[in-house]
Amino acid sequence: MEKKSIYKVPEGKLLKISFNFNEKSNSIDSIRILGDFFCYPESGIEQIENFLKGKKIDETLVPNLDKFAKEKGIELYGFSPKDLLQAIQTAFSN
Amino acid sequence: MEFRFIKDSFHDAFTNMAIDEAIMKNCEKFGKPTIRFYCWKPPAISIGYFQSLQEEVDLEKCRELGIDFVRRITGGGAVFHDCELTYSFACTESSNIVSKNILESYRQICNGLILGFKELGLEAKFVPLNDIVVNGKKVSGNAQTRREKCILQHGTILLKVDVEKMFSLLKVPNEKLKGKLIEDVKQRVTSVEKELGKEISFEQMAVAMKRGFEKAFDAKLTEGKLDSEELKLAEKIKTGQFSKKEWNFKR
Repeated sequence: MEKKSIYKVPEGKLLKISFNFNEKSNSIDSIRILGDFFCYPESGIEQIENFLKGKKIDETLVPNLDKFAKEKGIELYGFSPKDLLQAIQTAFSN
Repeated sequence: MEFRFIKDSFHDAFTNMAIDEAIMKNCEKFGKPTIRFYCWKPPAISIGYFQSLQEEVDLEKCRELGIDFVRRITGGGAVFHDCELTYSFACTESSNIVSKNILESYRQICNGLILGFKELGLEAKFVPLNDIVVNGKKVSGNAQTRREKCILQHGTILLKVDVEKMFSLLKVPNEKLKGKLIEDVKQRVTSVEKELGKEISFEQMAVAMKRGFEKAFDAKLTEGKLDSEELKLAEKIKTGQFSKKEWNFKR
């Protein structure tokens, strides 16, 4: 099931996400994260998109993504993993 | 400290982006930071690295009006480049001219513009991460990348702004709200001409910004050109990357 949302991060940038949701496992099959944010290095966004494949949309998502970004030295400006979860949740209420 | 200063003129979008990238890639070899001022002909839309051309830009309208569109290597939003002075700033990370901290480095480079605005009698402020405002309204947007041990930051200084024209070229999430969005942006965005209450030329802006950067970095900006290696590299990057569909429609 494809889900989309446009989420304005409070005091941040605009996130436009689309993802394929696996209802059986409550997880992300694939995700595309677009927006006017910054990510260093830029390849970090693709690494994050790959990391999220197969991840459950639950309370583990944010801490796991935080840990992944820190380990890989990925810096996000304009949104945080918490904001990304909010964008994902917004897609469900659309 | 001496910086190379390239007072460039009009180029198309692909050439402009390629030149900035070539300068960045050659930075270590060149041995000095480079500041470049340039403008765009034809007018163009550039989108940030993490945006989608199809989602952000009315491509048909751009083609109809002869407006180029290109993806940048830097993040940030969609920008309509028309009546503006665009700058780029390139230095090596090891030069320690700007902070290793990304937010702080944005502040330091934008300080050059702020001091440039001061030369014109305008009080400008840096609004993190990447904006400069005058009287609370955005007059400059900036975007930075760090690759191959070099820092490239480029940005716009709006000499004039036509918000309606800009929105005629961009897609909005909700067409019904377009009118409201345009009014909202008009409240939040300004131009140097509007703030000064009179026209300003690229040349006048360039003089002010050159002084601004010299003060910000306690440096002498010495006029120079791209060397032959940079020219070759820029041409290679233009034809191999920025002119290509695969690059521009990557996301």
